[in-house]
Amino acid sequence: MRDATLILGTVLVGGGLVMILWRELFGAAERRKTGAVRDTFEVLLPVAATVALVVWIWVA
Amino acid sequence: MTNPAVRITNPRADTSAIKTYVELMKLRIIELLLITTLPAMIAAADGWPGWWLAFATLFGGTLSSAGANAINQVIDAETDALMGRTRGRPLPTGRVSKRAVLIFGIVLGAAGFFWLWATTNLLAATLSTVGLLAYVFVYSLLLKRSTTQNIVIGGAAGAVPALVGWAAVTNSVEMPAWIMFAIIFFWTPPHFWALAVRYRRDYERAGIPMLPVVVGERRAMDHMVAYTVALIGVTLLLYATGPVGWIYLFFAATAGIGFFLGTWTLRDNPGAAMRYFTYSNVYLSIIFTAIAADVLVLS
Repeated sequence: MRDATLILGTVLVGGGLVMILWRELFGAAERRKTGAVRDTFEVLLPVAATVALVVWIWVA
Repeated sequence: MTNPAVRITNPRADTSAIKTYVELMKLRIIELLLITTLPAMIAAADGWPGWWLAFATLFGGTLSSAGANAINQVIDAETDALMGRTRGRPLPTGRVSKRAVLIFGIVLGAAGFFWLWATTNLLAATLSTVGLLAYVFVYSLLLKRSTTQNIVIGGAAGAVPALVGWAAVTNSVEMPAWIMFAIIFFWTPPHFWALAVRYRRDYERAGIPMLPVVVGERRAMDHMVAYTVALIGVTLLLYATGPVGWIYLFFAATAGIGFFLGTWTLRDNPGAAMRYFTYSNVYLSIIFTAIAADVLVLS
């Protein structure tokens, strides 16, 4: 049960992150208020942190 | 110049001053922060952490959060005056000076740090202060007026109480604490964007680039759906890693489906933004109450 939940949780987190990345980086150019570099960093930082958390969970 | 004797004999003025300072602490928001702290403590202790430790941590957390809220109102004084929702706050109405509020906020924040250090441990105290500093410097000063990512990254400050609760019990921050942090982190954007949908004109007038203001309601709601999907996934990961059992899983799954449906249907009914905002508070309370209930019942 926990293994199945781990897979489902990972799929949902992964799917959510892909949607977030898609929308933030490619979906709404007008929302970029801080320049491409800073904006990309601001979008990628939480995504990267979440990926690190999920990897940590899987490794553990 | 005010005669102190007159002030003392004027109970209404004293009551009003106390009320003003209590208002600056924004205790209703703190309530939600504390709802996340205690379950984190219960999960860390694998049972009830003890009355004294629970009280000490919640009290210290309240001091830190109240300090952050007070300092934030100094930074936001001008924009608060432009928004209908906030123009009745103590600073825009001139009931108190910026200097007094700033000192009040710093004293509260410092008191929170030393209280937590003395009664719990240095790690919990430091995390709590990092939360305060992140709220003031990263969210309020750096992000709030410059990017639509303001509430996404700034939301991390609001997620710190889960780390504080865990650290107060274990003097460490382990994986389940970070998952609880992530739950609050992914919950924050849809929660605040719903508020921004309702008060879109206010944010527009104040020049704060909340996502619904910049990209429109419909597209902001598509973003909310994405964050909600990730949020539900993170809540499931907490069960998968082991500190909670089937009671938590049941509530996380059912409340998660409800939250997703709420976010999805909001796309066609922006008028329900405040109802959704209220439900999002209930949702977070359900998740964290389920963590506490699960540990207390099953441990």
